[in-house]
Amino acid sequence: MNERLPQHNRADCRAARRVLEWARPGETEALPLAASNRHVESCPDCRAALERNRQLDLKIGRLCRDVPLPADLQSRLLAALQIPSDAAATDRVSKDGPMSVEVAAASVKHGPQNRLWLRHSVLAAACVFVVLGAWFVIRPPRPTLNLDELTAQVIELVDPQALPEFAVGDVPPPPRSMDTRFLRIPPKRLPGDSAALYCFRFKTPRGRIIEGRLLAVPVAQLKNAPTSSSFLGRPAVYLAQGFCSSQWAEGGYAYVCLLKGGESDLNRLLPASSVAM
Amino acid sequence: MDHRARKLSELVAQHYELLYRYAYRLTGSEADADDLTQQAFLTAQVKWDQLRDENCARSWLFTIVRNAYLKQLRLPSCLPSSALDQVAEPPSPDELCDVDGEQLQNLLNDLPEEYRSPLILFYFEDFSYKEIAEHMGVPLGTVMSRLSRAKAWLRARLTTPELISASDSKMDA
Repeated sequence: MNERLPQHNRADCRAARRVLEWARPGETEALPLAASNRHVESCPDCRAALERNRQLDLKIGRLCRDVPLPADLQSRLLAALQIPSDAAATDRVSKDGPMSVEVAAASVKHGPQNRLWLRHSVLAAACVFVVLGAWFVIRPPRPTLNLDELTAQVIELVDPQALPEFAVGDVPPPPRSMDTRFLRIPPKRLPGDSAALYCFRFKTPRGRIIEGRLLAVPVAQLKNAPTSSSFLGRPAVYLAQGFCSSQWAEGGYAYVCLLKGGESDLNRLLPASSVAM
Repeated sequence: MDHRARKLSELVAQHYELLYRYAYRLTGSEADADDLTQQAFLTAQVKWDQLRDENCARSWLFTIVRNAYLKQLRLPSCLPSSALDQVAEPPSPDELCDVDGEQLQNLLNDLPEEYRSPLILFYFEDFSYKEIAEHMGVPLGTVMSRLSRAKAWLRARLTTPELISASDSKMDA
């Protein structure tokens, strides 16, 4: 090699051939092609070697790609994937080239599968609507009442007896943990609320008259239900205008017993401890 | 047919031929190529969600085939990589010997897989050097170096009848 052209050394030939070997259409950016081409133009040996290799590569490439395909390969592959081999998409791809994303999307949009999907979606939405509607109808009422505010209202009432009586609906029953002999039944209704108000009156052994009120509210409507579960289960609380009270929850209702006096007077309302008038 | 099935059928239609040819040249066996091709599409079906960009589907499928092949590969290649260094310039005559596809396959079988895969993809003319490098998971320079050595070795074998016949028995040096 290069004996006829002494101006070229073997290193130049190797470098130029390597560069031009790697040169492929679209992949020549990083290669020093200009210098290699100049060398090859002036080096017949390199020109011959490169042409020989190019021809060899063409033949090897043809041989390499010449792999006979099994006749039913595509249909077997589709069968393995459980895809119908006569599917429209396959036909379109094999005849007209790859289907574009837009065309595929359009096919999906108008296909029977999509209509089925649409029907299922509408049905599901209707079911959700019905369930939500039913829940809205049968759901338990949201707690809206504040027991402390109700108690304050009751204290402000000058004459609870002037309240209208309970006309309809469930009347909160008298509590069991309190002596209810003195309650006036039926209870009264607070304006705008579902709370019931019993009034009571009794005389102490020394002849003092005690008047009071018993507020009853469904626990489910309260934002702040009492934690005690029986009358005077917790120490009495002193409120405005000389009232003393006990709060508790019993049988699904919250009760507030109020009277003007002290805890000792409340104690008289423990079962069978007071004298009826 | 749902969207995924439609896409899969497109994938099969577009790539099954080249994929099978690659698998055949990789394994040298029709049955193995058949299995590998099928396995590739089944894997693609199962792992469809991993395909973020459908433009990468071809290279994804080829990688699946190669990984499946490497997984099945039990025997090491008969030809150590060092044997590729002992290749000289193809002698004259420059004409390709009367070689058929089977003899080419025998020579490919003698190449270590890390040389065989890039060589096959190079001769398929459908893959850039960059794509081959990504497929092999090696740097571009490594791919070009392997290609140079493998091409020189193959050319020498194919242009020298004695080497073709000798390759059947003497590639374990």
